[in-house]
Amino acid sequence: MPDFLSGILFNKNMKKYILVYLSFALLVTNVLSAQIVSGKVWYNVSMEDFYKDGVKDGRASPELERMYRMTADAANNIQLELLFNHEQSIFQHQKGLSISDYEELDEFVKYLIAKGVYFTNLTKGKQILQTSYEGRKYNVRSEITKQDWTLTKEKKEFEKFICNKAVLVKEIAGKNREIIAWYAPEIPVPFGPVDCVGNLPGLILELKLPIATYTASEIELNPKKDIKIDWPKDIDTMTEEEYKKEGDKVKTLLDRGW
Amino acid sequence: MKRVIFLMTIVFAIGLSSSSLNAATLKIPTDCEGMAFDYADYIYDKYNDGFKAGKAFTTALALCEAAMN
Repeated sequence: MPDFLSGILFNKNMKKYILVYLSFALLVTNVLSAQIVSGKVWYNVSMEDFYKDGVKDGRASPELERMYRMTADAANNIQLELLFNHEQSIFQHQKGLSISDYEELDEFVKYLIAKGVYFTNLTKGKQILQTSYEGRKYNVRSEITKQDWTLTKEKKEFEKFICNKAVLVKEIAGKNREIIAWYAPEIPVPFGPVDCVGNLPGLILELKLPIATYTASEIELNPKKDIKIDWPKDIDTMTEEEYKKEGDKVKTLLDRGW
Repeated sequence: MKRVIFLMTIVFAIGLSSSSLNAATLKIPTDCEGMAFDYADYIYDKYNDGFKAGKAFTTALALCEAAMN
């Protein structure tokens, strides 16, 4: 066979191979990304850093130290659940769970960890927090905004998923605090505990906030029963700023001696 | 006369111990309140959230008082 003819045939074959390879790669990518459409994640909580930070300078009275200890111990018994589908998520405490011997402590520690039910809708780009204080209900709406997360190469395994570390520096009460998230690129949905949603390229399996760490203890992907999340309707909502102002009134009361 | 002085001393001693006891009893809620304010400040410093600080104060106060009684 003349050289020029074999060259043409080789090129034709190569093109065919490349086309087949690309189609296969596209199919695999589609199948993989389409695989995870919904899921349930359970999170445990640790507040040991909260305790250590509270007692580190040795100035805490025995009563205050006891309070820190009781808070951290109660938090160990908390369990939260995150349900998600391709578009929405809902994050809340597991219902009916008692975490200590004191009802008041139960309610308070749960409030510290997740102060209500967090609804997220990626299509709308919104989140609603349904919470309450002293019998008054609040529906707080917020936009999912882009946050300045730094994605690192550090990796760690959670529940058989390799997670990447991401860090966000956020100003809280006038101080720069570090928030650390471990997200699973294998589960390509941008959901996570509390208001940490919409920013990372994978489900958050561990989130370290200044006061508590949320760690996934069980993950169920694509459960047999469809996950339907009803976005709250016909409710009065307020903005985060309005809600913050209400909270500031409580702080003013405290500053005046209650 | 000695008996009167003795009785008066007894009455004085009982009165003194009783008032010390009262003072101690009154001091407990003050300590609890101080602790509850410190606890609420700590929570506010971590969260910047007045609601959480308010709940921290009432919870710490209630638990401390319950423990003292």
